[in-house]
Parts: sequence; structure tokens; C-alpha cells
Amino acid sequence: MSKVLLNDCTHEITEKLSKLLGANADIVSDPFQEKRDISKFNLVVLYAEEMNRGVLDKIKHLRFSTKFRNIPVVLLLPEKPARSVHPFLYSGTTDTLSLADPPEALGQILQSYMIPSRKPRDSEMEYLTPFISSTKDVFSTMASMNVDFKQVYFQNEHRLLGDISGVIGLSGKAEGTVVVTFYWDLAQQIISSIMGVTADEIGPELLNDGVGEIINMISGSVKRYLIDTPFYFQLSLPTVILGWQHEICHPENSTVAVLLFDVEDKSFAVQVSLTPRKK
Amino acid sequence: MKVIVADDSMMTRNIVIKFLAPLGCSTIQAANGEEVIKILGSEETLPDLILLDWNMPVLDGYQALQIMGKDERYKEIPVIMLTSESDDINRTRALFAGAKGYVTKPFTEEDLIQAINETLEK
Repeated sequence: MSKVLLNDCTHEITEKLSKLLGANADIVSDPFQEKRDISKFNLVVLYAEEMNRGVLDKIKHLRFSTKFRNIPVVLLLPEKPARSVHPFLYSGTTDTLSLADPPEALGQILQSYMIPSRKPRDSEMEYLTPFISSTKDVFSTMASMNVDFKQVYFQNEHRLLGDISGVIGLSGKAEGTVVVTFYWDLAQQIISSIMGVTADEIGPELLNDGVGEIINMISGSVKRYLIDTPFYFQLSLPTVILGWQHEICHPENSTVAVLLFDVEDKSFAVQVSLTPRKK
Repeated sequence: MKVIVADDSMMTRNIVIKFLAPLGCSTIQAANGEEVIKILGSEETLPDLILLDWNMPVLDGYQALQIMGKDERYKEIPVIMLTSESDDINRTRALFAGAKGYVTKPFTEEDLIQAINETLEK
């Protein structure tokens, strides 16, 4: 069963979507709530009569509330959108659909978003496992923080939006990118814990620097585990991206594994894209 | 004891300085290898120890280590690499190039102090 959250849908629309989603959907339909944990749902559909600022804000809240989980957020409109849906895409929607779409197509598209992400293969876990253990080690050693690894999924249609990301390029025997993405509050909490100061004392400069050093440590400490494998790499210097709900895009057709970690009630994500170089 | 702390991360430099404080060290900060070489050339007395990150812009720690190793004035200064480069290949390269110690990030205060004590006893 897939858990589906319908927000702001009328009784009539809920009925219609229930039929389209099929028997595999366990549906909860209720009004949008700003502070709601939606991380247990597999799909969220927000219905809006029109595209306006209020809907954009709701999308942003929903995306934030997914806590980096692989949860598609679909905006459903009564008619085909008359203007660009890009602002909604940038705010975190996975797709914008309309009730004017042919019901069969609408149903198939929605059902496709309920298909769970594939499980990692053994060959993928060979390089992902060291990233999991190194991430936990960096946080426990430097910040005395217990970090729980929750899940790994592969990014496809998923929108992973964060506030601060550390990015490091990998080259050599294997090539790719590793990205750690946080929301402000957790990044501040972590850096302040590492530095032994209060969160208020962590300004943007130290936050930038600290997140860059975290991704450097995570990636660097993985190297010892991969030395005799095709996934061994050299590190570049880290780059940090700051910006509310930004998204890091990866090259087309690259496999991006998202490793999800929880620190108490907050989450962060490590994206790993690593491929052995063709000889 | 005078120590140069070379790391492009301000956060790491601050942590290291905090860890060194109980030892009564005076510290000089550098953000890359080139700054380390400049500091060595400008100081009246040489440092007792250099803590050197590997991956830094402009001139990385390994390159700085090689330059110091070829310079009669600096080659006896004990250097501990303090780096995220965790594999044995780079550890061996650094030790071969003249580093006296090698600490991988992430590190604790105990890791650092132990490495300093071991290096200075050599």
C-alpha cells in the first residue's frame, strides 16, 4: 500500500482521485497544514483553484516537510495552466497536472509516482556503505552527534531542495560528485556543536566554511575503504552553495544515490554520484 | 612552542587552536601552502611544529611539504599532515616527502595531542 496525502481537495475531487489512484492507495484527504510531518507519505497531491503566491508557499512548505525523502509533490489544477509552471517547479513540485487531463493519463501518471525507488544493487552498496559509515563518523567525532542513517534511494524525478550544500568533485579512477545538503537550522546546529559555541555565533562565513569542510571530511575519509576498488578517486576542493531551497542538478543519465540521515527530528541528505572511468 | 596551523578551513584552524591552547602553544594561521612558505621566510624564529592540511588552494600541503623538504632551512621542522586524505597511498607519500606524523580528519583532541607528542619525541 502507498500512503497518499491529498491536500485541499474537495470531496468530489477526492472521490475522483481515489478511483484513479486505485486500490493500492491508502488515502488521507484534508486541508493543507503548515506544520505537518508528511515524511511517512509516498505521494502528496495539492489541489489549487488557481496559481498564486499562496499556492507557491504551500508547495515550499510541503517540500520542506518531506525532509529530503523521496516523496513526489504534485500540484493539481482544475484546468491546464495558462501560464508557466516554472515558479512552482522551482518551489519544489514534482509535476503539475490538471483535472482537464484525460482521466486515464492522469491516473497513470499519478500511479507512476507511487512506484517506490529501486533498491541499490550490491555493486552500488560497495561504494555507498563507506559513505554511510564515514558520514556517521564525521558527525560523531567532530560534533559529538549521533546521526541515524535512514534510507538510500536513487534520484530520478525527485526534487531535493535545501538551504546550504557542500559540493565536492571526484576524479581519477572513478569520477563523480558528492553533495551534502542541509536546511539552515541543522547546519547551524552542527557547526556550532563542532566549534563549541552557540548557534547564534555561527555567521554565514563560518557556516560556508564548515559545510565545505564537512563534505571534504566525509569524502576524504571514504577513500581508505575504496583504495583497491574501481571507485577510488581524488578529491577536488569543496564548493558551498547557499540559498533558500536551492537544488543541485547532476549530469543527465548519471546515477545519483541519496543517502538520508536523521539528527533527532531533523534530516540532511548526502548525494553520491560515482562512476568508474571507462578505460 | 610555536606552531603553524595551515588549513583552508577557518573552522578547522579554530578547532586546532582550541585543542592546542592547553599546551600553551603560540599559533600562526595559514590558509594555504604558499602562506606557510611566506611565514617561514618572514619569521625571525622557525616554528617548532607545522600542522599541514593536504587539500588547499594556491599551493597544497603536499607541494608545500616538498618545497620545505628541499630547503635546508626548513627541512628539519617537524610537520604533521592533518588531512581528510585517509588512504595509505597518500599517507606513504607524505611520510616519504618528510612528514613526521599523519592525522586523518575527522579527528579528536586526543588524536591530535597524541600525534604531536609522538612526533616531537622522534
